Amino acid sequence: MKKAPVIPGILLALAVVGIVLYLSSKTRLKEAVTPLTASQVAPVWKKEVIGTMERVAKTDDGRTKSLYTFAHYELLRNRALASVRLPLEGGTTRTLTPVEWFLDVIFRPETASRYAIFNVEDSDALLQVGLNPHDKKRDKYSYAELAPAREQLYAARTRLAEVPAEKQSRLDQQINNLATNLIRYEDLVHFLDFARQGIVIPENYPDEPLKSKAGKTIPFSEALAAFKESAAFKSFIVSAKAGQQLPPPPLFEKIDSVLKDTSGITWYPPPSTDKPDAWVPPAGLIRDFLTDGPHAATSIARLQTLENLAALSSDPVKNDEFQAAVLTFGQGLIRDAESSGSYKKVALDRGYLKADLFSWAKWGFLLLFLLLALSWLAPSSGWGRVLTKLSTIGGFVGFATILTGILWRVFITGWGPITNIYETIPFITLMAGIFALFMELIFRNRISLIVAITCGAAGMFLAGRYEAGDAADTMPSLVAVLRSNYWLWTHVTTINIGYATVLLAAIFSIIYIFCRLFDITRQNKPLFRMLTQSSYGILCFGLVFSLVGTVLGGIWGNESWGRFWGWDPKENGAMVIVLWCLAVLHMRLAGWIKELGLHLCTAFGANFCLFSWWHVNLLNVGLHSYGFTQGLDQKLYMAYALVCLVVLLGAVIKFLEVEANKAEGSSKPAPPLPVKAPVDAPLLSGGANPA
Amino acid sequence: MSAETPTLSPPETPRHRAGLTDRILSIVGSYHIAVVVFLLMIVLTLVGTFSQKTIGLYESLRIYFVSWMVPREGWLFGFIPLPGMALVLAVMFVNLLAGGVLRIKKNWRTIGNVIAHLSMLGLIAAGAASLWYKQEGHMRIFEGESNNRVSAFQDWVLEVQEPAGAEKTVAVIRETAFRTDSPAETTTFHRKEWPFELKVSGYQRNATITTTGDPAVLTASDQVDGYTLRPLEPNAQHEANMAGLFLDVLDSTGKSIARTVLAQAIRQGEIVTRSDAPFSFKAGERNFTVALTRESWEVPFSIHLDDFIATYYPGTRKAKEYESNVTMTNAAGKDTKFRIWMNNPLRDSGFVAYQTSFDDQSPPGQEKYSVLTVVKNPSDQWPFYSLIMATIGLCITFLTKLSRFIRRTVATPTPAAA
Amino acid sequence: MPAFPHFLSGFLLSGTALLLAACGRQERVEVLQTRAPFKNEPVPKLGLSTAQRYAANDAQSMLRWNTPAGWFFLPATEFRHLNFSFGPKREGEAYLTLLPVAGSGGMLENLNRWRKQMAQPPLEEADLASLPEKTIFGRKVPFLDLTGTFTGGSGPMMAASEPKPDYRMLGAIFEAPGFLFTIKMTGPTALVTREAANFDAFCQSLGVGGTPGGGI
Repeated sequence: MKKAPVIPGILLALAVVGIVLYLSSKTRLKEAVTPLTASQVAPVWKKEVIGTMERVAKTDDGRTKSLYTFAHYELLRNRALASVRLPLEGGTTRTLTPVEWFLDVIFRPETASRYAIFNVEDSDALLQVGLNPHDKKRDKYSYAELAPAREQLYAARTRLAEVPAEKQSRLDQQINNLATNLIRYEDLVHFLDFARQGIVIPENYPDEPLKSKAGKTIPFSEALAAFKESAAFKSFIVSAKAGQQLPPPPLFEKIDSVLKDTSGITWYPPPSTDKPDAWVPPAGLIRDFLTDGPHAATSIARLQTLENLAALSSDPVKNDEFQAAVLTFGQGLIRDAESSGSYKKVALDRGYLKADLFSWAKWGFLLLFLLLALSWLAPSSGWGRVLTKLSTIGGFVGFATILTGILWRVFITGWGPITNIYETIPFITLMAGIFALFMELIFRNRISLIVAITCGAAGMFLAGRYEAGDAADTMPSLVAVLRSNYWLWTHVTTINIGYATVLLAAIFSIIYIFCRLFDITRQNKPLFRMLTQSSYGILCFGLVFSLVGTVLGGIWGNESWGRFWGWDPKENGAMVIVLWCLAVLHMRLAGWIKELGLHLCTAFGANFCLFSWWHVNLLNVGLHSYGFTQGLDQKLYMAYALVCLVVLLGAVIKFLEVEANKAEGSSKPAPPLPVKAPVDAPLLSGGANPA
Repeated sequence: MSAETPTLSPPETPRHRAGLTDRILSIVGSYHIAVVVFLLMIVLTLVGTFSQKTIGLYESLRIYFVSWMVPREGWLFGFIPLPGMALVLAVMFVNLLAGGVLRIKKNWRTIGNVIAHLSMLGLIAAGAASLWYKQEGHMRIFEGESNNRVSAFQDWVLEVQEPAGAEKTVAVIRETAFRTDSPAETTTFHRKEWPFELKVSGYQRNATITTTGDPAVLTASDQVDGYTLRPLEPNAQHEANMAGLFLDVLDSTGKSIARTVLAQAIRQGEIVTRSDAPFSFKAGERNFTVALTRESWEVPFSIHLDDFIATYYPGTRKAKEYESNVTMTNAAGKDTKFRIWMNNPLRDSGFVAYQTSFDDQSPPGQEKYSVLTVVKNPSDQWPFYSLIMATIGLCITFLTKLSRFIRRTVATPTPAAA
Repeated sequence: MPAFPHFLSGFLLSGTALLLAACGRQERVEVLQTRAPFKNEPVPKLGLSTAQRYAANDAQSMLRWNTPAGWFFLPATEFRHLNFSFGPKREGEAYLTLLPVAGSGGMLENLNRWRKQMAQPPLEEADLASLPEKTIFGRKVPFLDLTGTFTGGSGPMMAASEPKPDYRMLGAIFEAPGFLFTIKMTGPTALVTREAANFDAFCQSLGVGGTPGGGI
């Protein structure tokens, strides 16, 4: 009866493809309708300028990354997509890459303020802050459109800061996010204001060299150099060092506001190799100049460069000259970073994001899925075999791609493959894939292959969604307790292999349940035996890895906090998985469950896995808390419900089976177990039934 | 299901033995108990985990995880009683010992299982040992100073002593002994060295001293010299709770001869109760004192903080690393230098000291300090040995099964499913 | 088939356990845990009063007194070192203030301020001797007993509040070395009259250091 699984296979294939296409279509949106006129669009950036600026390094939260990475995540957070598509007159469009957008924002803020880059999920959020939204419920807005409501947005944000995240409504959350995005955007917009606008010397400035310039506007760099020379500043410094508090000299306040504007982009590398942490933003140059810090020697020249760039950027006639100056500027930053010895992994960092391996893997797996679905139409034909071979090879290539991506990250961060919750997704996907492919090598019946490919596609899809939803650098610096490669490579990987295997066992069991539903009399014995053996075998591995991983976690806890077990939610989650595996195995030994029961229980185990993997983080208590993610709880409850639904199907199967047996009468008793009794030689007893 | 239940004499039962011990072992060590234990543990763990959201870790430990029986307030849905984790683990221990170690047929096929079961016994034993014998507290050391005293994170104690008396020891009553579910309940403490008894009443988990006229305690029913307790909302982080109670000194007839209220007094957010100003009373001609304080004890060595270093990620206040460079002087007066940092504790003479916390932001004039967690746990390394055993045992079991399975599958290839 | 009893045994064992739930908390407990005294452990101070242990300010930690039954002990304020209220609506108040003599304005000035609050003419220095006396802190001090419309604020330095008719004020102002003590009770006449004995007892109980009623 080789026909049996074809129909469910195709249905499943179509369903998965449909869901993936639908969900990914939600992230691709129609653009704002108002096209931009030629004068409203900035001149096109030259390729080599962008290529260079993308490689410029910047530090953020203790990590040195490429400007490309920074701009990518800024844009992703604002726009839910890491590129800007500008509708032009005449129906054409122009697409800006993250760094093109970033350069427009800092050098041409007026122009950039008309780019529709703020994603608003629900236009009601805008109504709440007194704006007239577009017709569409979900649309993208430009800074120019949102700016009139900035005060209201910021007030709302201040108010919401008092409300715990889990108590905020979806609309609250959106207003909060929008306001945060606006603040961060304004940091960029005003970044070069000081270079564009210069500085007005106060009328009351007491002494030279600034007294004679009182009332005039002069370049900031010139004012700063003169300020340091003035007696008023010097006496202020002397008094401050003596612990007195003299009123600061005039101009101090203005310099202070420039410090605030220019503290966002930390792209000036340390001046020497012995201070690898001394990366500074322009604000740091100013501070170092006034306090004779490490950057004091180059401060004025660097500020002048920015002033020069700002002057050139505002003159459309000098576009070529401007772009050449930006190129030189970027090359200078890269050269300095290289000679400071802290540039090592920046190109690698940009390359990782540009290669976007996980997206390629996602689409590749989807394609493989279709190929495999096609091959099921005519499994034994020549074409079918070719397609199967292709999919198998493709499966290996796909997981090799994920592995490459993971190793690439390991190489950039220097830490084990998992340091945060995002990284668990590709890792668990990879592990589930490897185990499923291993099963395929044993059984060679394409079921494990389709499981592997489904896991790959689903996992990469989840990774993409998580990254876009979080819209923050996926390689943040580690808190002190996590800075231990020994434990990251042992405990964290083992426990996640545990998750992967328990989930994979559940997937095999779910397939079993569906197959039973379509083949109630169990004609295809090899199929069911194969599914049972796979599920049971993988569950055993799940037990080993979960148990070892959990105990390793305890030992780590004993090394860092002095307690092996603290009943922390994440620890508990891991232990529940172990206990469930043990319960299932012993229930079988005790005779409480047999084949179908084993599958129902294994399938249900997915819930415990989801609980430990995702749910405990939502509780916001304990040592493994990652913060509350809006909307994640609903998705989790849906997943729980789906798993429960499948398990409930088991009851239906049982009922149908009893009916079928009645109809057939007792003359032909179908033995319900392929393997009976010898518990010590359980389901993994191989193809030959020893009974 | 029951109609299909196959014969339940477990297959590894040696047929030739059927004595009474064996039958008892077969019941005590049955798979059924094992499964029930696993399921109960899952329920307890889940309930206990979710409860932490509302009641905090300490309460959830008390109710579910270190209790023999879950008290009424923790019952499932409010009406289903639950055994406590301690009891479940004890049952599991017996069941494992009987079924998984003593009764299991021992041959090369089951050796992995036996080892794995033994390792689980080790884990449970480690848990019990640390529950009963583990001593844990924190030691705050200012840079350039020494300390040998450790304070409990959570437990408040009543310390009773007779400063001029013959008995030099200090009697210690732990909060677990005097805590009550309602302030109306009382607990009386006696000791053969005492010519009196102490009655604790009006216990509050979190309270502060206030005066009877405080608008926040308009309903205060009990007071001493115009002072009373102002109950505060119990904090989910039990470390932040300050116990409060009324204390009566009873003479042999049960009459109260002295009375006080004990708690921390807070002014402008700071605790101002002086540790050298306990409640004192006269019993006959003897003077006694009672203080409500954090439990603390001395360790047989002292730690001198030579240098504390915290490094931050540039441009942030996120600590990258922090470490205490210390000199430890042991009981024999020998000095040893150590570096204690995250994941790298100091181990010496049964004690382990971990880098826990620090303050390097003190106002000028005050030294920065480092906080170490100091633990004495006889079962410190047991989980590690158990882990090695479990890994070996499970690997033997599953790898032999797997290899047998693969050998057979390769020998008789499974026909394609489709 | 032994299946059923086995099956049951799992539940039996945990079922017995449930019965143990009946065990309640012990009411009378023997204290067994002790610890050795610490090296350098400070010797506890004996004989401190509740107020000394929980004193809200320096004055409270120096003073001793008995709070009359039915009085509410209020949190200390900047000027009121001992602060009480009484009466069904807590409308009566009694307090003790302690000011450095320098800058306090002196005894007579404060006495006349009180008299003014009760709409009474000021006294001369010579009139002081004619006032009744009480023993407080072991010394004889002039005592004031006024009835009338009270216009005093809720604090000694506060602006006058709404006039309160039919009020009675009891109090004493005196100088002790370095300090000006004021002890004062105000409230509706009927209430103050009822509490006058308590006020007397309170004044009698006031002391410094040792036992209540001690001298300065």
